[in-house]
Amino acid sequence: MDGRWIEFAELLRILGRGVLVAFLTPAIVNSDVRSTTQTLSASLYPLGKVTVSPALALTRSGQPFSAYSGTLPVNYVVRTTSGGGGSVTLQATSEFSPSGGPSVAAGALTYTCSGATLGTACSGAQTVSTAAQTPVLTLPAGACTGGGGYCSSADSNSVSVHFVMPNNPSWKTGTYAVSVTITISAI
Amino acid sequence: MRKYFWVGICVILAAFAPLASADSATGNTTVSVTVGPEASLTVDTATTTLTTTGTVFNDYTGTTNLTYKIRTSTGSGSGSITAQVQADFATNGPSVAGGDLTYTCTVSSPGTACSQQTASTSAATPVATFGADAHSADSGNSASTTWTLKNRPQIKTGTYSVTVTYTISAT
Repeated sequence: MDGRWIEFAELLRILGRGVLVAFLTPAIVNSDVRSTTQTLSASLYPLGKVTVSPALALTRSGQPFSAYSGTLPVNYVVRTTSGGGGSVTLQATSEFSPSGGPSVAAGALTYTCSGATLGTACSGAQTVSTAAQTPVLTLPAGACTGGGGYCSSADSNSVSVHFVMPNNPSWKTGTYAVSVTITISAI
Repeated sequence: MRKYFWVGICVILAAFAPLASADSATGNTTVSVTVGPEASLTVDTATTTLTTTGTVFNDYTGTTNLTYKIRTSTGSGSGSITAQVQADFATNGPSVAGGDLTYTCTVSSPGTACSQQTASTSAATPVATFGADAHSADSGNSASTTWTLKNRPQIKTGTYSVTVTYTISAT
Protein backbone atom coordinates (compact mmCIF):
# COMPACT_ATOMS: atom_id res chain seq x y z
CA MET A 1 0.00 0.00 0.00
CA ASP A 2 1.07 3.47 -0.76
CA GLY A 3 2.50 5.27 2.20
CA ARG A 4 -0.10 8.03 1.94
CA TRP A 5 -2.91 5.54 2.16
CA ILE A 6 -1.33 4.10 5.21
CA GLU A 7 -1.19 7.50 6.86
CA PHE A 8 -4.80 8.19 5.88
CA ALA A 9 -5.92 4.86 7.32
CA GLU A 10 -4.11 5.65 10.57
CA LEU A 11 -5.79 9.03 10.75
CA LEU A 12 -9.23 7.47 10.38
CA ARG A 13 -8.42 5.01 13.11
CA ILE A 14 -7.49 7.76 15.50
CA LEU A 15 -10.51 9.88 14.62
CA GLY A 16 -12.68 6.82 15.13
CA ARG A 17 -11.42 6.52 18.71
CA GLY A 18 -12.16 10.18 19.31
CA VAL A 19 -15.69 9.79 18.09
CA LEU A 20 -16.11 6.78 20.30
CA VAL A 21 -14.83 8.75 23.30
CA ALA A 22 -17.07 11.65 22.44
CA PHE A 23 -20.09 9.40 22.44
CA LEU A 24 -19.12 7.76 25.68
CA THR A 25 -18.63 11.04 27.57
CA PRO A 26 -21.56 13.21 26.68
CA ALA A 27 -21.92 14.57 30.23
CA ILE A 28 -18.49 16.11 30.21
CA VAL A 29 -18.94 17.66 26.91
CA ASN A 30 -22.36 19.01 27.84
CA SER A 31 -21.49 20.24 31.47
CA ASP A 32 -21.93 23.87 32.46
CA VAL A 33 -20.39 25.83 35.38
CA ARG A 34 -21.82 29.07 36.55
CA SER A 35 -20.85 31.19 39.55
CA THR A 36 -22.44 34.02 41.41
CA THR A 37 -21.67 36.03 44.54
CA GLN A 38 -23.73 36.93 47.52
CA THR A 39 -22.86 39.48 50.21
CA LEU A 40 -23.40 38.37 53.78
CA SER A 41 -23.47 41.09 56.36
CA ALA A 42 -24.12 41.17 60.08
CA SER A 43 -24.44 44.15 62.35
CA LEU A 44 -22.72 43.36 65.66
CA TYR A 45 -24.10 45.46 68.47
CA PRO A 46 -22.63 45.93 71.92
CA LEU A 47 -23.74 43.15 74.23
CA GLY A 48 -23.21 42.10 77.78
CA LYS A 49 -24.13 39.14 79.92
CA VAL A 50 -23.34 38.62 83.58
CA THR A 51 -23.53 35.45 85.66
CA VAL A 52 -23.26 35.17 89.42
CA SER A 53 -23.88 32.50 92.01
CA PRO A 54 -27.43 32.76 93.31
CA ALA A 55 -26.27 32.84 96.93
CA LEU A 56 -23.29 33.99 98.95
CA ALA A 57 -22.93 33.36 102.68
CA LEU A 58 -20.66 35.70 104.58
CA THR A 59 -18.67 34.03 107.32
CA ARG A 60 -16.58 35.11 110.25
CA SER A 61 -13.10 33.86 110.94
CA GLY A 62 -10.67 34.59 113.68
CA GLN A 63 -11.47 36.44 116.87
CA PRO A 64 -14.96 37.08 118.25
CA PHE A 65 -16.62 40.07 116.66
CA SER A 66 -14.23 40.01 113.74
CA ALA A 67 -15.84 41.04 110.47
CA TYR A 68 -17.90 38.78 108.24
CA SER A 69 -16.67 38.41 104.70
CA GLY A 70 -17.16 36.49 101.48
CA THR A 71 -16.09 36.63 97.85
CA LEU A 72 -18.51 36.61 94.95
CA PRO A 73 -17.07 35.67 91.56
CA VAL A 74 -18.79 37.65 88.80
CA ASN A 75 -18.50 36.14 85.33
CA TYR A 76 -19.30 38.21 82.28
CA VAL A 77 -19.08 38.27 78.52
CA VAL A 78 -19.16 41.58 76.75
CA ARG A 79 -18.61 43.41 73.51
CA THR A 80 -18.33 47.17 73.38
CA THR A 81 -18.14 49.42 70.35
CA SER A 82 -14.96 51.16 69.30
CA GLY A 83 -16.28 54.44 70.60
CA GLY A 84 -18.22 53.06 73.52
CA GLY A 85 -17.42 51.30 76.73
CA GLY A 86 -19.25 49.60 79.51
CA SER A 87 -19.55 48.93 83.17
CA VAL A 88 -20.55 46.40 85.77
CA THR A 89 -22.37 47.80 88.76
CA LEU A 90 -23.94 46.47 91.92
CA GLN A 91 -27.01 47.47 93.92
CA ALA A 92 -28.93 46.03 96.83
CA THR A 93 -32.56 45.69 95.90
CA SER A 94 -33.74 46.11 99.47
CA GLU A 95 -32.57 46.16 103.08
CA PHE A 96 -31.38 43.15 105.04
CA SER A 97 -34.21 41.02 106.23
CA PRO A 98 -35.32 40.53 108.93
CA SER A 99 -34.67 43.74 110.81
CA GLY A 100 -32.60 43.81 113.97
CA GLY A 101 -29.36 43.00 112.23
CA PRO A 102 -27.07 44.65 109.71
CA SER A 103 -28.32 47.57 107.67
CA VAL A 104 -27.38 48.45 104.11
CA ALA A 105 -28.55 52.00 104.67
CA ALA A 106 -26.21 52.28 107.64
CA GLY A 107 -23.29 51.28 105.45
CA ALA A 108 -22.83 47.84 106.94
CA LEU A 109 -22.06 46.12 103.65
CA THR A 110 -18.96 47.16 101.77
CA TYR A 111 -16.89 45.52 99.07
CA THR A 112 -13.72 45.69 97.09
CA CYS A 113 -13.09 44.43 93.57
CA SER A 114 -10.11 42.55 92.22
CA GLY A 115 -8.82 40.25 89.53
CA ALA A 116 -10.68 41.65 86.55
CA THR A 117 -9.69 39.72 83.42
CA LEU A 118 -11.15 42.41 81.17
CA GLY A 119 -11.62 46.01 82.18
CA THR A 120 -10.62 47.83 85.32
CA ALA A 121 -11.90 46.72 88.70
CA CYS A 122 -13.31 49.29 91.10
CA SER A 123 -10.84 51.11 93.23
CA GLY A 124 -10.95 51.10 97.01
CA ALA A 125 -13.79 50.07 99.26
CA GLN A 126 -17.31 50.65 97.98
CA THR A 127 -20.38 50.84 100.13
CA VAL A 128 -23.40 48.91 98.90
CA SER A 129 -26.49 51.02 98.48
CA THR A 130 -30.17 50.40 97.97
CA ALA A 131 -30.57 53.78 96.30
CA ALA A 132 -27.86 53.75 93.67
CA GLN A 133 -25.68 51.44 91.66
CA THR A 134 -22.08 51.36 92.75
CA PRO A 135 -19.14 50.45 90.52
CA VAL A 136 -17.63 47.02 90.16
CA LEU A 137 -15.88 47.28 86.84
CA THR A 138 -15.23 49.72 84.01
CA LEU A 139 -15.01 48.33 80.49
CA PRO A 140 -13.02 50.08 77.78
CA ALA A 141 -14.07 50.86 74.23
CA GLY A 142 -13.57 48.07 71.74
CA ALA A 143 -13.54 45.40 74.39
CA CYS A 144 -14.65 41.88 73.66
CA THR A 145 -14.62 38.57 75.42
CA GLY A 146 -12.83 35.52 74.09
CA GLY A 147 -10.76 34.59 71.09
CA GLY A 148 -7.58 36.39 71.93
CA GLY A 149 -6.07 39.05 69.70
CA TYR A 150 -7.80 42.31 70.37
CA CYS A 151 -10.32 40.41 72.50
CA SER A 152 -9.54 38.84 75.82
CA SER A 153 -8.13 35.36 75.69
CA ALA A 154 -10.60 34.09 78.29
CA ASP A 155 -13.91 32.92 76.88
CA SER A 156 -15.66 34.24 79.94
CA ASN A 157 -14.23 37.12 81.88
CA SER A 158 -14.44 37.43 85.62
CA VAL A 159 -13.96 39.83 88.48
CA SER A 160 -14.08 39.07 92.20
CA VAL A 161 -16.23 41.09 94.55
CA HIS A 162 -15.10 40.73 98.14
CA PHE A 163 -17.84 41.68 100.58
CA VAL A 164 -17.02 42.74 104.12
CA MET A 165 -19.42 43.42 106.94
CA PRO A 166 -18.66 44.41 110.52
CA ASN A 167 -19.85 42.26 113.39
CA ASN A 168 -21.70 44.51 115.76
CA PRO A 169 -22.69 43.19 119.20
CA SER A 170 -25.91 45.18 118.97
CA TRP A 171 -27.27 42.94 116.21
CA LYS A 172 -29.68 40.26 117.27
CA THR A 173 -28.68 36.70 116.61
CA GLY A 174 -30.17 35.18 113.49
CA THR A 175 -29.71 34.87 109.74
CA TYR A 176 -30.04 38.00 107.65
CA ALA A 177 -30.20 38.22 103.86
CA VAL A 178 -30.22 40.90 101.21
CA SER A 179 -30.69 40.60 97.46
CA VAL A 180 -28.02 42.17 95.30
CA THR A 181 -28.34 42.85 91.58
CA ILE A 182 -25.28 42.93 89.35
CA THR A 183 -25.79 44.88 86.13
CA ILE A 184 -23.55 44.88 83.08
CA SER A 185 -23.95 47.64 80.50
CA ALA A 186 -22.28 47.88 77.12
CA ILE A 187 -22.30 50.75 74.65
CA MET B 1 -53.35 49.99 51.69
CA ARG B 2 -53.13 48.18 55.00
CA LYS B 3 -50.32 46.00 53.63
CA TYR B 4 -48.30 49.05 52.66
CA PHE B 5 -48.78 50.50 56.09
CA TRP B 6 -47.09 47.52 57.75
CA VAL B 7 -44.38 47.44 55.15
CA GLY B 8 -43.71 51.07 55.94
CA ILE B 9 -43.51 50.32 59.64
CA CYS B 10 -40.98 47.56 59.01
CA VAL B 11 -38.87 49.83 56.83
CA ILE B 12 -38.82 52.48 59.54
CA LEU B 13 -37.88 49.97 62.19
CA ALA B 14 -35.12 48.58 60.01
CA ALA B 15 -33.77 52.05 59.41
CA PHE B 16 -33.52 52.76 63.10
CA ALA B 17 -32.20 49.34 64.11
CA PRO B 18 -28.52 50.37 64.05
CA LEU B 19 -29.29 53.06 66.61
CA ALA B 20 -30.09 50.40 69.17
CA SER B 21 -26.41 50.33 70.13
CA ALA B 22 -26.50 49.68 73.85
CA ASP B 23 -27.20 46.65 75.94
CA SER B 24 -27.48 45.76 79.57
CA ALA B 25 -28.11 42.60 81.50
CA THR B 26 -28.38 41.66 85.14
CA GLY B 27 -27.63 38.83 87.53
CA ASN B 28 -28.90 38.42 91.05
CA THR B 29 -27.41 36.98 94.17
CA THR B 30 -28.54 36.81 97.76
CA VAL B 31 -25.95 37.81 100.31
CA SER B 32 -26.65 36.31 103.71
CA VAL B 33 -25.00 36.21 107.09
CA THR B 34 -25.76 34.18 110.18
CA VAL B 35 -25.15 36.20 113.31
CA GLY B 36 -24.53 34.01 116.33
CA PRO B 37 -23.85 34.55 120.01
CA GLU B 38 -20.39 35.94 120.61
CA ALA B 39 -18.38 37.43 123.41
CA SER B 40 -14.97 38.97 123.88
CA LEU B 41 -13.13 40.40 126.84
CA THR B 42 -10.18 42.71 127.25
CA VAL B 43 -8.34 43.18 130.52
CA ASP B 44 -7.48 46.85 130.54
CA THR B 45 -5.39 46.66 133.69
CA ALA B 46 -2.61 44.29 132.87
CA THR B 47 -1.16 44.36 136.36
CA THR B 48 -3.19 45.32 139.35
CA THR B 49 -1.12 46.42 142.31
CA LEU B 50 -2.86 46.03 145.64
CA THR B 51 -2.07 48.72 148.16
CA THR B 52 -3.00 49.52 151.71
CA THR B 53 -3.76 52.88 153.16
CA GLY B 54 -4.89 54.24 156.47
CA THR B 55 -4.80 52.24 159.63
CA VAL B 56 -2.11 49.66 160.22
CA PHE B 57 -3.08 46.21 158.97
CA ASN B 58 -5.80 47.58 156.78
CA ASP B 59 -6.46 45.23 153.89
CA TYR B 60 -4.78 45.69 150.52
CA THR B 61 -7.10 46.73 147.71
CA GLY B 62 -6.93 47.31 144.00
CA THR B 63 -9.18 47.34 140.92
CA THR B 64 -8.88 45.49 137.63
CA ASN B 65 -10.76 47.10 134.76
CA LEU B 66 -12.31 45.08 131.94
CA THR B 67 -14.02 45.83 128.64
CA TYR B 68 -16.43 43.27 127.32
CA LYS B 69 -18.45 42.75 124.18
CA ILE B 70 -21.32 40.36 124.18
CA ARG B 71 -24.26 39.19 122.12
CA THR B 72 -26.46 36.43 123.47
CA SER B 73 -29.15 34.56 121.64
CA THR B 74 -32.75 35.51 121.74
CA GLY B 75 -34.95 33.09 123.62
CA SER B 76 -32.79 30.93 125.85
CA GLY B 77 -29.45 32.68 125.47
CA SER B 78 -27.25 33.67 128.38
CA GLY B 79 -23.75 34.76 129.19
CA SER B 80 -21.24 35.15 131.98
CA ILE B 81 -17.89 36.55 133.02
CA THR B 82 -15.92 34.56 135.55
CA ALA B 83 -12.57 34.81 137.28
CA GLN B 84 -10.20 32.11 138.50
CA VAL B 85 -6.82 32.33 140.17
CA GLN B 86 -4.38 30.09 138.38
CA ALA B 87 -2.19 29.25 141.38
CA ASP B 88 -1.90 30.34 144.97
CA PHE B 89 0.47 32.95 146.33
CA ALA B 90 3.91 31.79 147.28
CA THR B 91 4.52 30.05 150.59
CA ASN B 92 4.45 32.25 153.67
CA GLY B 93 2.39 34.79 151.75
CA PRO B 94 -1.33 35.37 151.61
CA SER B 95 -3.44 32.35 150.77
CA VAL B 96 -6.11 32.16 148.12
CA ALA B 97 -7.07 28.75 149.41
CA GLY B 98 -7.36 30.24 152.86
CA GLY B 99 -9.83 32.83 151.64
CA ASP B 100 -7.51 35.83 151.88
CA LEU B 101 -8.45 37.17 148.43
CA THR B 102 -11.96 38.42 147.82
CA TYR B 103 -13.50 40.74 145.28
CA THR B 104 -16.56 42.72 144.39
CA CYS B 105 -17.80 43.46 140.87
CA THR B 106 -19.01 46.43 138.92
CA VAL B 107 -20.61 45.72 135.53
CA SER B 108 -22.40 48.09 133.20
CA SER B 109 -25.70 47.11 131.60
CA PRO B 110 -26.73 44.68 130.19
CA GLY B 111 -24.62 42.69 132.66
CA THR B 112 -25.52 41.95 136.25
CA ALA B 113 -22.64 42.31 138.69
CA CYS B 114 -21.73 39.61 141.16
CA SER B 115 -22.06 39.96 144.89
CA GLN B 116 -18.85 39.71 146.92
CA GLN B 117 -16.90 36.61 146.01
CA THR B 118 -13.98 34.69 147.45
CA ALA B 119 -11.37 33.99 144.79
CA SER B 120 -10.52 30.38 144.10
CA THR B 121 -7.82 28.40 142.39
CA SER B 122 -10.07 25.38 141.90
CA ALA B 123 -13.16 26.92 140.36
CA ALA B 124 -14.19 29.89 138.30
CA THR B 125 -16.18 32.36 140.34
CA PRO B 126 -18.73 34.81 138.91
CA VAL B 127 -18.07 38.36 137.90
CA ALA B 128 -21.14 39.06 135.78
CA THR B 129 -24.13 37.32 134.28
CA PHE B 130 -26.15 38.12 131.17
CA GLY B 131 -29.64 37.17 130.10
CA ALA B 132 -31.07 36.32 126.71
CA ASP B 133 -30.78 38.82 123.86
CA ALA B 134 -28.12 40.82 125.68
CA HIS B 135 -26.05 43.24 123.62
CA SER B 136 -23.11 45.36 124.57
CA ALA B 137 -22.22 48.55 122.78
CA ASP B 138 -20.28 48.16 119.55
CA SER B 139 -17.23 49.64 121.27
CA GLY B 140 -17.66 47.42 124.30
CA ASN B 141 -18.94 47.90 127.85
CA SER B 142 -17.03 48.31 131.09
CA ALA B 143 -16.70 46.01 134.06
CA SER B 144 -14.28 45.76 136.96
CA THR B 145 -13.33 43.66 139.91
CA THR B 146 -12.15 45.34 143.09
CA TRP B 147 -9.82 43.05 145.00
CA THR B 148 -9.37 42.88 148.74
CA LEU B 149 -6.45 40.97 150.23
CA LYS B 150 -6.30 40.34 153.94
CA ASN B 151 -3.32 41.94 155.62
CA ARG B 152 -2.61 39.37 158.25
CA PRO B 153 0.41 39.89 160.55
CA GLN B 154 1.44 36.28 159.93
CA ILE B 155 2.29 36.99 156.33
CA LYS B 156 6.01 37.42 155.79
CA THR B 157 7.16 40.62 154.22
CA GLY B 158 7.76 40.52 150.48
CA THR B 159 6.02 40.90 147.13
CA TYR B 160 3.46 38.28 146.21
CA SER B 161 1.47 37.82 143.04
CA VAL B 162 -1.07 35.57 141.44
CA THR B 163 -2.45 35.36 137.93
CA VAL B 164 -6.18 35.64 137.44
CA THR B 165 -7.90 34.34 134.33
CA TYR B 166 -11.14 36.00 133.25
CA THR B 167 -13.48 34.08 131.01
CA ILE B 168 -16.49 35.42 129.12
CA SER B 169 -19.01 33.18 127.41
CA ALA B 170 -22.23 33.60 125.48
CA THR B 171 -24.86 31.22 124.23
